[in-house]
Order: sequence, then C-alpha cells, then structure tokens
Amino acid sequence: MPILEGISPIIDVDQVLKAQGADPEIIRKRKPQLVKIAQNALEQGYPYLDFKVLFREIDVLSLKHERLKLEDQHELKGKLIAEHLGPAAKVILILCTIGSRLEDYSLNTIKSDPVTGLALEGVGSAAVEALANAACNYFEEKAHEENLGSTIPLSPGMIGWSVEEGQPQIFKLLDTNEIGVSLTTSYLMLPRKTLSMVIGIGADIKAGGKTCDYCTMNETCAYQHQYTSSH
Amino acid sequence: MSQELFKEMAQSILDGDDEVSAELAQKALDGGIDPLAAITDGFMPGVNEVGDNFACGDAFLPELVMAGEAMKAAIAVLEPAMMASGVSRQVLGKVVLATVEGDIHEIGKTLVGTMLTSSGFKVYDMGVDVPTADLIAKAEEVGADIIGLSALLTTTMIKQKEVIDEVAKRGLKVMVMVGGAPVTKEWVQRIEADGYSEDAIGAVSVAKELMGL
Repeated sequence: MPILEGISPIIDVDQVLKAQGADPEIIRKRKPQLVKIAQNALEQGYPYLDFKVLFREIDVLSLKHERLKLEDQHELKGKLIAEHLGPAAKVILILCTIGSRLEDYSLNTIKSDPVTGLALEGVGSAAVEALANAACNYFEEKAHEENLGSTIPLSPGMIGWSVEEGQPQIFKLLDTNEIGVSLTTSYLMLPRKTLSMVIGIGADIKAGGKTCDYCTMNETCAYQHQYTSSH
Repeated sequence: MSQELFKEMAQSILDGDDEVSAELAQKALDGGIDPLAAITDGFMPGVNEVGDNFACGDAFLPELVMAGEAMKAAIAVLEPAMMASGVSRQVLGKVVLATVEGDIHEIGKTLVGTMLTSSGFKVYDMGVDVPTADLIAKAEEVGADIIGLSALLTTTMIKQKEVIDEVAKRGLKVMVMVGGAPVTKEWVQRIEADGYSEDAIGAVSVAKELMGL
C-alpha cells in the first residue's frame, strides 16, 4: 500500500498557540512568555515528529442508498459519504500520523511541567493538522493537473458519518500496520495524533463549503474563524 | 501591608508566575501572616479571576494552566507551615477523578484536578483508561463525595453511564459529575448525572454546588 514520501510540513509558533486554543495576537501582547514557551516546545518537539501518510486509491462503481460501491467489492457507507462522494470517479483514503514519539515526550513532560507539556501537545496537534492539509493539497493539485475536481476531506466524526460508522470502514480498507497506526475497541486511533479521511476525485466534482460546516462541534467551536482553508 | 501583599498574590496568579507566587507565599510566612489567609484572601481571588476570564473567553487554556501552576507553587510553600501549626485548609469535598475506560485523553481531566485542588477539594486523580470497577472501589475506599468522569470520545461517553448505573446499583452515596468535549446537556439528562461542566472552571462551581456550598 503506498506511503506518501517527503511531506514534512513546516509549523510556526502561531499554529502551536492556536492548537492550544489561544489567539496568537492576544497572547503576544498579554503573555509573551507563553509565546517563548511555545517556540521552545516547537524546537524541542519537532525532532520527535515522524510524519507518515498512508493512502489508497479505489475506483467508485456506483452509489445506492447511502452505500458507495467500490471496486473489488469494497464499499463506504453513510449519509455524509452519499452526500459528497456520489459523483466521484474514485476515492482516496488517507491516514496521516506524526507517530508516537512526541506523544510520549509530551505526556512525560506534562507530569512535571504542565505548561510546556501542553505546548508540546499543541505542537503535535498543529503538526498532524499541517500534515493532513499538505496531503490533501497534494491530492487536490494532482487531480487539478488532470482537470478533475476534488471534494472536501471527509473524516469520521463529522455530521452524517459517526466515528463508530466511519472509522472501521477506513481501517478495513487500509493496511494501517504499515505506518504503525491501530484502532482501539472504542475507535480511538493510536498514536493519538493521527487523522483519517477520504476525498473524492472526479470530473463532475466541485469543491464546496469547508470541513467545519460538517463538524459536530460547529455550533459551539470558538476556533472556526482560524480555519480559513477548505479543510 | 497584608492587603497590598494579597493584591500582589492575586496578581502573581493572574500573571501565571509560579516563581513570584512562591516568593510571595514565603514573604507572607516571614511576615507572620496566617497561611490560610494568604490562600483564601491572597491567592484564591487570583484563581477566581482567571477562572472568570476563561469562562467568558477572556483567557486561554495555557493561561489557565499557568495560573494553576502558580497556585500550586504557592500552596507548596504554605501548606507545610499550616500543617506545622496544626491548621489545615478546609477540605470542601473528596473527588475521585478519572478519564473513563477506553479513553486516554489526559489534559482536560488533569486541569479539572488542578482547579479543584486549588479551590480546596481533595482530589484522587486515577489517571486515564480507568475501569468502572476500579473507580467504584476507590470511591468507596476514600469515602468520596463526588466521582468526576472525563470522556473525550462519543464512543467512550457510554462508560460515564456505566459508572452512574453501578453507583445506583450499589446504592452508594456518591455524586457523579461528567465532562468532556462531546458531552452535552441532553446526554447528561439521559444518563442522570448529578453534575456537568463544559470546562475546568465550571467544574469547580458544579462541585461546590453539589456539596451545597
């Protein structure tokens, strides 16, 4: 199963602060020491990041009653899947992880220095998000080169595709051992800083909306304004 | 002198400066100020203000964590002095705290523990991925007033109900409060939890309410 090589996104301190739920502009004025802590965490944590992207392309055969029939008798199902992937000619299943080394480091740090530990967690969250964005951009650009469109990335947990429904479907179609990712009985991906998603590619697809529109937290999330891209 | 020092104490918490808060705690002891008064009249107003700011979106999570650390540093200086003089801080209640079985998210739960401890609760933090049976056993062992349960996944929230059902089945006189990103008021009503909070600061208020304070 293919692994996307060579993606090592650069992360800046603002992304680390945002990943901790902080507004960088306000924090710079109010608590500059937190910016320094985030910067140090980034420098300390970055060497612990093991960026890996596993993916699989599968042709779409048909859509019937919220079931997307794929080649080799595979399928994806769910309301969200039907809503977005019906016109797709193929789907790309993607699993992005930063590995477990940073997670171990941050959990150890948090016991003795919670502020730095939280910043390291922020590094991990920012890193996996940046990795997922980079992976999506790669596939979107590849599709555009072939004059094809791509959907927004769909992830289990979004409205219309619960974690319980979506996660086993994705894991069934990917050999996740290849990048050291597993799914617990409660559908938690390990290492924790891992994102799974599927995008549709096809001539009749026009990207619309953004992932936040389909997030279960969209009514209460205070950070939506920070996500300006389509992901 | 006390009032001025108390203001500085509160400010050290607002600044999240654990070195200054520890220095001020020592200054209070050296100046013969009652350590309990230093906590309740000096540092606690700072904790409350940071909490209020966080609750209304005027403070961010790392600032809350910094404030908690500053409070811990002050208490670490003051507590031995209180114990030596036979005075102890009033324990508002005993809380057994954990992230439920199947869930390994730590930060939110730990922050709730820090805030409850800072506010005067005795917290027994059992960590993450804690089986229901272990939680119940700990609650019985320490005579807990409250069990606090965190779950960050829709798939593990069900364990909160499992604990509540087990408490009811055994007829234990312990209240259960729940929290975590996917937890909603509807879910809380459905599982008949005694309390619910969206964040660590709210958890302190809820715990106090449950204790009738």
